[in-house]
Amino acid sequence: MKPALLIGGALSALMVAAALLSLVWTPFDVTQVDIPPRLLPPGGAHLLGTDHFGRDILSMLMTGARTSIAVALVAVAIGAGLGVPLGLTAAAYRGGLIDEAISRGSDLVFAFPSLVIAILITATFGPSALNAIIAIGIFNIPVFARLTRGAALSLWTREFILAARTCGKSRTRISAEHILPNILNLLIVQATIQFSLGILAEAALSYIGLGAQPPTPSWGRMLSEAQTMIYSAPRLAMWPGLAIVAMVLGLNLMGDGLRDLTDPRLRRERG
Amino acid sequence: MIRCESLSVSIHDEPILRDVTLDIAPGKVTGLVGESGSGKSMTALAVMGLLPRGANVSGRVMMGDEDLLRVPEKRLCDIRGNRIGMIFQEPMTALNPVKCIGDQVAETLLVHGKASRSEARRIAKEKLARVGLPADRFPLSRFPHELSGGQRQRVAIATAIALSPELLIADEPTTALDVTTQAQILDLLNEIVDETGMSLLLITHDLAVVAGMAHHVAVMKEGEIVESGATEPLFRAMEHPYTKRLFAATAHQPDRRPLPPEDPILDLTDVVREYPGARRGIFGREAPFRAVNEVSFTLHAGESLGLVGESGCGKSTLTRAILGLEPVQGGQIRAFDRPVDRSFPNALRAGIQVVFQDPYASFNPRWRVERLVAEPFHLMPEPPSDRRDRVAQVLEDVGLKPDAMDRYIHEFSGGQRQRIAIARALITKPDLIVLDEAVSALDVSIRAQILDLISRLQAEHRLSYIFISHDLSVVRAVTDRVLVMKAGEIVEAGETQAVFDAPGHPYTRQLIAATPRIPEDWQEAKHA
Repeated sequence: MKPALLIGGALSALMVAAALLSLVWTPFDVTQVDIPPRLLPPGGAHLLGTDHFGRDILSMLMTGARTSIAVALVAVAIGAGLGVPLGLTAAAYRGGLIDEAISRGSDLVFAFPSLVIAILITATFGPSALNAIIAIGIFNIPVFARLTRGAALSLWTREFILAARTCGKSRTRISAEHILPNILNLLIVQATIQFSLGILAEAALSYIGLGAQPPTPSWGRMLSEAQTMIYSAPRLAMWPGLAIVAMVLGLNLMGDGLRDLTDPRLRRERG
Repeated sequence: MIRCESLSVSIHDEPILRDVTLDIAPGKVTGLVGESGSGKSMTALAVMGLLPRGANVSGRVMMGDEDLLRVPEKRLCDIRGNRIGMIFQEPMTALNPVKCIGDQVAETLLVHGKASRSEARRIAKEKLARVGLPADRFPLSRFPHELSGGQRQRVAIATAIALSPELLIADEPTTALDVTTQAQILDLLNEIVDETGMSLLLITHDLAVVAGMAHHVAVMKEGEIVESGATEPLFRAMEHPYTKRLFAATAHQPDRRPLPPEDPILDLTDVVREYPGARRGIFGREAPFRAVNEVSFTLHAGESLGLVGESGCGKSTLTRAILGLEPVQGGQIRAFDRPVDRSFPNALRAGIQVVFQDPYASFNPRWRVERLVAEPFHLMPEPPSDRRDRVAQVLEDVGLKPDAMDRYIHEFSGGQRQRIAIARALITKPDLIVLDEAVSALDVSIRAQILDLISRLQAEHRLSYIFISHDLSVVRAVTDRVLVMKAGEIVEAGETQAVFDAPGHPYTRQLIAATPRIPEDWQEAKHA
């Protein structure tokens, strides 16, 4: 097993485990405001200390992981779930009207600054984690569509695709059986990148108050609240920041490891 | 004079070159022949000081009194391009696609500080004219993609000789080119050697090319030079068994007897395949490009039909039309008495299979061999229940062990892959197999084995073949009838033997004349 996959997998698993654990148990109640023990340093009953409302930071990180991971995961699922089939279709009918429509559609979505549109959506439909998911998800669609189309196009000219066509297989079937498995490594890497970006986007939206709403904690909201105390209590910003870094790093490492694992040519060399 | 003395190279403890001693005489052509993986290119890279990382070298490469293996990198940079030039197999990838040809040639001069910018342009113009690209017809501002393969190789040669090097290394310079273009490029190289007194190290897998070009030959096998000497005596004597084997493989004639003619199974009448012209303006289009122009022929069961022609003549387009992958714009293709179009039933389609040229690109790298070989079962109304047994049987038929089916394609060599490709074509028990340059990418000894295999399979399964190739000697060896194609049209057709013995069309004569061959009397001496 490659160390990258191991470290990445461990980091990601730790975060996901914390998020799942927070469903049933956290050291303290995150909605409980308790002024006297505010801004406690790490150690003692509060392992990572408390914030300016006296809430336990570890508990908030655990609960926040839930929001951040859920938002990013669903956003990637929306993006890949719609983008990949669109890209495959465009490549299968390359040069035709369908291809043109899908490609220009992607360009159109790409042309809008994504965060501004996300703000527009959440401003129109009200700020909530769900609207953040949809906004981030929509912008993942052209990312996957374009990547898929580009990678699939070069495969369609290969002789094994010609061989499959002489076997009378339809374009849809060839896309599913031949094209998709061969671009899966690219898609996995892209998915982990989009997942990371999703976590950052959720953090950004929450930071400006358009993502998760109080009292639901998220890593982005924790950052935003810590901003006012950045000089007096920098660790309030440090903990959610570290959590985001660890999650993103873990996912990227895991993506690289998975990419190698899905390739039979590389699998053998590891022996 | 350049001399490799006991040159040995190993990469990660694996020996690549063993004790190679090679003299490259000034003003002469030295041929280095061998099959893929024999270490030919590695020898050239060692001379250039361009060995890959992790290579462990011993011995000496003497240029004058300098040992190129021991001079510092900076000194090597002075030598490369200046005193030693190199050209490669694939001229498209060897040229920078975003640089015009004038700059491409001038670059060498500028890198070595041998000329001012305007001077470099002047020399570039001169050298390009020398290689047959005069500025009035091929302005210096042309880009590589605007040139044909042969013209690109000319640009690469002009770049390599820009500084009049003492040695030009040509690594398979004509392998990617058509025979007629190959003949022109070889002539050009010969002329340059004669004019300038430059040495040429010609690396090739083709014995016939070496026979016609080289003064000296060295035969390489598994990193060792097994035989070397002056060309003609070496060919006449052939002392080493490997040289003999290589020669025998080159001239190999599979043992085949024409099957008695039967009913026609494929019939083409005035087939036309056009591609839409390039867009001009918003609504306008240029005239459509006719890749296949009114082609007609009939193929009988059990017959082996050759289709020869150079790249771009329309043979691959015609193949795709026969396979029903592309529509035709005129005429009709009928197979098994049914028109080949969208309504052509899958059950009949299973009777026509194909083997492609590139054994590396022909398979999905993520599937195991069993699934790869069984893919044509998709054409059957319902896949057979004994799939594994059927796959095992065809694998044995093509000379592979049945346990190959649980492995991935990258675990096989080029020749084995081509066997697997043939197994895939056989699995539906077809009547016709289209072999599209099916042996062109293989080494001569492997090619001989595959030719034997397809001849045997033809007799055993009463197969018909359409054998598409640019290699006339191969077509001659395995076909009953041949069609010569040029610019989308069939210019000559007839019994293979008759066409080759007495070609009627000037183009056929040109093709045959351009094919390099080992002089007959050298071979007679050997047989005697």
